[in-house]
Amino acid sequence: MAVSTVFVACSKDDAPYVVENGTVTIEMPINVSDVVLNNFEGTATNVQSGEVIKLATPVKNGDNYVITIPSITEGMYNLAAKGNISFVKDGVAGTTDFEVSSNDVALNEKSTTAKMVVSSFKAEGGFVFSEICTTGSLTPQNKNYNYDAYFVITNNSDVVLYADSVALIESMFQSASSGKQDWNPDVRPYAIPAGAVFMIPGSGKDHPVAPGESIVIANNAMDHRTVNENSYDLTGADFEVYLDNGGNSMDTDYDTPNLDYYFCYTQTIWLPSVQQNRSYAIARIKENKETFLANHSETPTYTATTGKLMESKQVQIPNEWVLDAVNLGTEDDFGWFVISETLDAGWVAGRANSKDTTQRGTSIKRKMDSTGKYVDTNNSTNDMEARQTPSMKK
Amino acid sequence: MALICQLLTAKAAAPDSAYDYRHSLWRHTIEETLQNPALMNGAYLAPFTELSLKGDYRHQSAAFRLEQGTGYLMPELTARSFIRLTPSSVVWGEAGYSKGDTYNKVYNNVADFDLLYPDVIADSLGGDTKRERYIFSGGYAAEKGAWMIGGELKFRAEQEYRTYDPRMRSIVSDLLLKGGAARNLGDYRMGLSVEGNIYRQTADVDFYGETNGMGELQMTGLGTSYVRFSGSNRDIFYEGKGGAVTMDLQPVSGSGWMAHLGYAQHQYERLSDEYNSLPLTTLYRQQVGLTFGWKQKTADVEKALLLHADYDKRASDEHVVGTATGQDYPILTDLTMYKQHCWDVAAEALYGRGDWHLMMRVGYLSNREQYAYVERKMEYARIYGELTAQWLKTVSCNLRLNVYAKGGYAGNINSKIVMPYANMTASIKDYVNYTYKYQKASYAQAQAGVRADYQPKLWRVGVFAQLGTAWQFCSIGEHEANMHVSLGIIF
Amino acid sequence: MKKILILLTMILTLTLVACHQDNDDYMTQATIYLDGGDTLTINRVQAMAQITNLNTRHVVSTAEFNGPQVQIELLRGAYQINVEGILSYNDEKGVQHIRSFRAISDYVELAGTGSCQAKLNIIFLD
Repeated sequence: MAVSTVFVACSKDDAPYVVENGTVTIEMPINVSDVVLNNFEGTATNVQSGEVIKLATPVKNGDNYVITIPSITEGMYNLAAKGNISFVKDGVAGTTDFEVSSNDVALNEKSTTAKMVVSSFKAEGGFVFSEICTTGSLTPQNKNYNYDAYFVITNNSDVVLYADSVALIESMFQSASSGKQDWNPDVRPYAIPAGAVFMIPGSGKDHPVAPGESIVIANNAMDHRTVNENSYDLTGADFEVYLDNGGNSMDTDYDTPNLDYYFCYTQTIWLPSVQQNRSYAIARIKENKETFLANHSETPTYTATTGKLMESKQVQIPNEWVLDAVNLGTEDDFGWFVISETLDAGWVAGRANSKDTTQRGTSIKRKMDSTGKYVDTNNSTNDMEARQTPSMKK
Repeated sequence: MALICQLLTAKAAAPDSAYDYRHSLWRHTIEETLQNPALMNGAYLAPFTELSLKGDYRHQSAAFRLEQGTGYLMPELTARSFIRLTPSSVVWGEAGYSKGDTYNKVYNNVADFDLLYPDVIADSLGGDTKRERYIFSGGYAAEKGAWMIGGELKFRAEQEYRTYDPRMRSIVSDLLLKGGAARNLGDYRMGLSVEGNIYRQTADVDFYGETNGMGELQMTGLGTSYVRFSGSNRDIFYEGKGGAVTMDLQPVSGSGWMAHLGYAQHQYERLSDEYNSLPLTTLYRQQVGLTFGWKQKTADVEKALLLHADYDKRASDEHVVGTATGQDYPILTDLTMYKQHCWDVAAEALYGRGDWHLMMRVGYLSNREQYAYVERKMEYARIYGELTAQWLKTVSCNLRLNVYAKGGYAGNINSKIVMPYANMTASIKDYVNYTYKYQKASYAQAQAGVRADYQPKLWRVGVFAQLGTAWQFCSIGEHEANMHVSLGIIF
Repeated sequence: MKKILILLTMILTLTLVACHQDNDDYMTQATIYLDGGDTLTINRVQAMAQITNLNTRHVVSTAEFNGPQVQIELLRGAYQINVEGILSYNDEKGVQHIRSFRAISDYVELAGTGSCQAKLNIIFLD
């Protein structure tokens, strides 16, 4: 039994210890780079007295941010912080809000530091093709109409991503067996041989896309229903393709903002693959147009059976820049992968055979999982479905 | 006024020493020793049997202790008897029945709160309760040569319930068995007694209204509760056991040194009915009391000086429960999370001359409660003084009066509270702060009463009546009023 | 008289010894390991571990990971542990990866006196 407890009136409490220059470290996620803390609000609440201390603005220290508390009475504290960070993941810029808290943190003589980690958001996913509609449509008179192609790119992550400098790319080659040749050099292991490159303009933060939101890129942003009532109204598209090559172009420049024209194999009018046997990709372009064309223009060649030297004037997109890629092919004739299989391990069958016209007026869509996110296993055989109703069909 | 004059000028009739012995303040010097049944032979000078009907009423303007409510009304019917079988042996007994109401009890849905706190089942609604109690006890003591032996049995059955939601219902059975021995050693008598106790209580809380379902909290001290088993777990029962040992030293002649040492240890286990009799907490209570003093009694004058030291320790062990396999919950470990240390150290001086007695008590009281993790503390200390005066007046050979008055003050000298307020709900915060407000207050008390015993020579039976009142005033402005009335016959 | 005094002292000491001993061993130093399997060596973990006491529902959190493990002082008892964040590891070929992960256990006994351990399996989220 504690006989010493009788003298409670005689004992005096020591004055509480005051922690000088205690620190709270906010650790930034390690799977993103160039993290910048934009705004910050933090508090430390003393659990016993209820006193709320506002935390000072954190100071960058290496990869993390550190808050110094000049002096704080020892005790147990509930820490809470919220704010907004910008970062770069896989080359794509993004921003996200964060909120972290840690309860009953002891700050005293023995323990003068605390740590909180910002890692509760998922910057995975990024931009993906959610729809590719290049089949054209049939007029009421059953004639072909090929001008109404469009692509939908969706932000499949949990953070705001910026679409600036994201480019739409069409492969130079087509996947039918007739297109398969022994091109030299074979750049596919490290780059996409591209026939068309059109880039979303911007200075870096001009085009934010919220999580789950999409960008529609139309070949021709007009209301095609005025010409073909089975077609779509694409005046609401975010961007359009315009072959701005001075002179030869027969393309029409509609009101919708244009993508920056980097390269196209044709000078007149570009028609995305109605036969649905080319591959499409989106990539983050890391150089300006002049530098890009200077560094990434190539002309692979091969010798035909006739002995003639065939060449392909193209540009090449490094595989590391690629955000998403989809291979398309004809069901009974898929000859080869025109881009690296590491970008897309499978392919989508657009039409059954070369005579098939039933796929016209349909689009290829990416499947959605139970959480509302698009399925992206980098294998279009699993991830995409053909012959879907186009989303722009009203 | 006339009555008082008559009282003061009446011829001093022959004092009834048996009456005085039974009612005098001087009895305070032997009260503690009478816990030993072997020493009951000398408890009273003359045998008696008393039947009485009494009523006690308390009202507080605001609850001094939330768990005990703002007051009560308890009428009671009791019979007491002390009979001498032979010159060297006595029997005594008591039986009683009371039924009454308690008002506005909150955060306490069990009977015997004083015994079982903090391990009670509780909610913030509470309300009035009805109480019913039966007690009976009996004992026997005998002397043989220098030795004395005695035994006593006490039983209490109690029921406390509420007739509206939350409908608490507690049923208590409390059995006490005592045995003692004493021996004369020269001028002194030395006694030793042991007692054993078995205690049971079932406590249930029901809700009849379909919208009234509310969680019951299994309290574990200073506002904490056993969260995992709180809520729909509304049926619990207590199993208690314990024992005590007392040692006494008394002067045979009534004058000389005296000492009393008592040690008691009890434990009360709280088990949950709904979880296959899972023990949630066990309360351990240790009480040590020491009295040491000197007294002197002559024909006219009685003097005594006593020193008291009492220590009461309460510790509640929480049984840390793992995950159930089927109906079996394993207990991982026991942790003594709640502790309370109470000290009461006092000095008493008694002086009596003729019809008058005066008793003064000055002491120091300290109460320290703590909860281990997350740390909570509530402490207070008081210095108190009390003065009691008694006038035993034999008005005539038929009528005797016992007039008493008491005044006292307990002043707070130290208090402390440590609570993790930021992590507490608003209702628990209010509960804890309310309790602390009354703990660190200072209290003034005043008491007065009179008992009149009337037995003309021709009557075989005497009658008595008692009227008393007691008041407490709290330094934060609230007060308590008590009333006591009893009527009875004695023969 | 002397015999009686000896008897009394004996009884006193006996009753004092029979006092209930308080169980004051409240805290334990818990080490929580994250297990990714034999094929990977965890370099760095960046996550908040939320540790909830199943009996009191009190939540303690820590981010002080040292490689794949974190140490924290806890009240002895049964806990639910939830760790979510990012870790960097080397696979069996030595290539470094940085991936999001989660490690959960609904019931862990951390009641050992002095120190105790818990091991949680990692699930990658991407």
